[in-house]
Amino acid sequence: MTLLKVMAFSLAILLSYTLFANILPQVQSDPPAEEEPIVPDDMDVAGMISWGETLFSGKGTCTLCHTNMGRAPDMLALDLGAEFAERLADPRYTGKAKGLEGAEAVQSYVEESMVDPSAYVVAGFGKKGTGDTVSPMPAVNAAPIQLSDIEMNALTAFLQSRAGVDVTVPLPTAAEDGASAADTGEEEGPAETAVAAFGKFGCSVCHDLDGSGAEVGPKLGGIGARIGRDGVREAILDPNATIAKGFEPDIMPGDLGEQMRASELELVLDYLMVLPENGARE
Amino acid sequence: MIVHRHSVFWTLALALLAGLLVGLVPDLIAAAEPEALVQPTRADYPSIAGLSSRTVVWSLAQMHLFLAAFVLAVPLFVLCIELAGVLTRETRYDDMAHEFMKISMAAYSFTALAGGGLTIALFLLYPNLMNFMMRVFQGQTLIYAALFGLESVCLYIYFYSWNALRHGNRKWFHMSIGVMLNMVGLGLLFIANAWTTFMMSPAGVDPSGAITGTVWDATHNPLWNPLNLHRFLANIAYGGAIVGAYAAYRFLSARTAAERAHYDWMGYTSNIIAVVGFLPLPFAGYWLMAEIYSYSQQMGITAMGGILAWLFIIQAVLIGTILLAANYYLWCGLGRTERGAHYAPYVKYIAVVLVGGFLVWVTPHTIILTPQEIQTMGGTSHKFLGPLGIMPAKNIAVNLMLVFTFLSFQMFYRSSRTPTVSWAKAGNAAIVALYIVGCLNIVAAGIYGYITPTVYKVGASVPQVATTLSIIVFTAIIDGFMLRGARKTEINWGRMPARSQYALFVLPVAFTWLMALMGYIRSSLRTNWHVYTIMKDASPEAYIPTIGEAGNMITLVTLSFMALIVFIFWLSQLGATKQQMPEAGTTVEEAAP
Amino acid sequence: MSYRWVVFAGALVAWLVYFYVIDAAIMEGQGLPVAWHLMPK
Repeated sequence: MTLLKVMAFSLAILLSYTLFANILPQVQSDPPAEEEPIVPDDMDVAGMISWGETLFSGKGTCTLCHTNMGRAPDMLALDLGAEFAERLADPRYTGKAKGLEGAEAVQSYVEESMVDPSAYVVAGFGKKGTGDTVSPMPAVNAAPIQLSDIEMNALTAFLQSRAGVDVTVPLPTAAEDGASAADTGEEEGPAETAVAAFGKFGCSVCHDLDGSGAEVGPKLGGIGARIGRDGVREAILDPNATIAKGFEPDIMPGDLGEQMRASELELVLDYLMVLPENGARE
Repeated sequence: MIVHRHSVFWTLALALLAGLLVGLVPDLIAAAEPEALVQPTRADYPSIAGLSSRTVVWSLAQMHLFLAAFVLAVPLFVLCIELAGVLTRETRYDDMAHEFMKISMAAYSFTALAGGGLTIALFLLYPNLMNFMMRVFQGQTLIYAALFGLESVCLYIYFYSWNALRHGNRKWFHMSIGVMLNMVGLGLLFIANAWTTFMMSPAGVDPSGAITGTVWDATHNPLWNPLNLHRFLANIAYGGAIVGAYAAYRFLSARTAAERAHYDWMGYTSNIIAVVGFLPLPFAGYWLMAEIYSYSQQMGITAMGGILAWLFIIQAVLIGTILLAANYYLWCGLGRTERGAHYAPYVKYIAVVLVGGFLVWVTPHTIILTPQEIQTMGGTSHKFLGPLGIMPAKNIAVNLMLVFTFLSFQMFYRSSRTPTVSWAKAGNAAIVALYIVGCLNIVAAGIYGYITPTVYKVGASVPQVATTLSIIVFTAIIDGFMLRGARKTEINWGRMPARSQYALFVLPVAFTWLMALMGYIRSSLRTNWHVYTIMKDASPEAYIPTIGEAGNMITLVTLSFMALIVFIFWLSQLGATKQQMPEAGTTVEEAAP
Repeated sequence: MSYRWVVFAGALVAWLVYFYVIDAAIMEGQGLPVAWHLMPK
């Protein structure tokens, strides 16, 4: 009899806890979508701003800390134009945006804040005991947030619009989609050979390299003799600077400079410098 | 002097352990070759018989944790009680310690069973994660396995030699086996904690998952020691609560006054163990939370200001019930002595503080609201009740609740002892003054936290904690001196109302549910990562389940555990039952059992 | 004056000292500067 009473009593307590847990607001937290977002080729500035706004409270998880609770500056409530100007004018600020003006300054500052939050910490928001030199904010392009470059551009566009300046981020084009494929290549580690780099960055898709036979871009055989190492380097890092005769601008990806590691670039340059005129290589 | 054959045994055992450690040291100090981690994809997660992998692992893990907490805790307080028996030369302590060991023996094999089941389930259902964990922790897993062997050896010897090593030097030898048992148990706890905390705050690996550090680097991650302390204390409180339920049950079903007195005393001791283990817990929990915030502010805010915020309100409800139950038991205990009536009038004030504190603690602040709810409430938090939800108010409430719980205990302790020292009046005045100063300070530091920025709110909790601990320590010291040679009032063990025993049932039920809830929070902090920021969870169950689902799951596992504990206690009683030989000419049924 | 009030008054004074000295020290020790009147600088 005692056993029954005790069991009934324990069961009643358990049920009351279970009931309480069930009447509270039920929220299921799903992991962020794995697939890269499909970015329309013709996404314009307004589209970027609106996408950035979605990211701010979505995948970017910015609103977790950037609220009125005092853990991080309340971005949505502040006058960002005045706020950013104040921070850049702070003698403590020694980051990349120093000396820049207007929209450029905002873009540089925002991008820096996203990938290197501790470059400048707003007074009072640093980690306890570090004297505002270390930020508790994680880098948004690293785990766990892992925003891609396009997504960070969208966020920058959103913040630029809220700061009342022009949006100066590059809009996504076909090149950008190619770049995101290169992003996934990044995760596999640096290319060890030039040929590996060609595959990783899609060079053989347009240029006849490693037997690909592609003719979208100029033949690269003997290019070292024609324009020299510096010329090839410029052609890779800033493709629109000089367009080969018979070809069009804005086709080659413009952000290989951000995608490639220095070691990979040097491997490619080494390879192309000695690539014979007829393109064949042992 | 120690008998030589025992020395040989211990030398061999230690040599074996040392050999094992030395053999594995190269693994412990040498780093593995760094290669980046390959993230698992959805296809890498096997599904067995259509069962939800997460449910299987969760149930086994939780059962293992409940049982492990219990079997680690019991030897800890058993050793302390055994020591008390040696120092006070009262056999009743030794007998109770022996009884505590006896009722928990069967639990060890069930702990191992659950652990084995958990291991198999993990390797079967999450092979990529386990592969990674094995590569990170290497030889440490073998040490863990070896420690289990050593634990079994120590445990069986400790228990079965109880009567053989009963007096004099042999007793000290017996206690040294107990120390060894506890050391091994702690080793097991700390190693398992390393794996758990590595998944939350990985160290010794680089962002791509390549293992760049040693096993010690991975073990000594930021959350390891906070979790070690928290689980160590919580285990003690938990073990006390569970054996308290045993004592309460035996009390209610006791048939003689002697039995009732014995189990009343046992229940009292269990409650003390639970309260003593429980009082420092909020501070250990606070340290754990602070380290989580320090490691990743995102993780910290997810816990307390994000989607998991409501869980801490449920936690408040559970801890509130635990404190109220423990206090209620102590208040009923005042009825055991004549002098207890002297303190009875103060009970209502303590009750007011406890209930008031509980209500404040339960009040939420940052909660997820729909736009309509925001409109109805006139803001994202309630105009008057909202401020009660933020940290300073909660800290005032918690610290005062702990202080007044200690007061209940102190009153009960005093109810059987009248001070006879000449400075008793001054001593009492000092104690009262300490309480007043302490409570004023807790409230003042809390108010200070209100009027200052967030970082000060958090900082202001440290003086509060210091105050609470000071009150407890200093008043205990004063009492220790003041009650020397005190006139003892007789304690009428057994003179307790039946309802007081139900308070002892609330403790383990609430504790068990609370432990499972905290485990749910801890796992959910990792959101959709197996190893936070290193290995993503690509399984179909990478989401955080709702509180309702979790609550149902927790209740089911708690019920299973309660059933198992009842079985384990029943086994110990069964072992003590002896059927009498029927006399010639009578049937078995006619003979007495 | 009754003994009780002596104790209460003494406790109040003790608390004031404790608050302004010890609590301030604990806060400063955490890197949270407080002025003598206990407001943050």
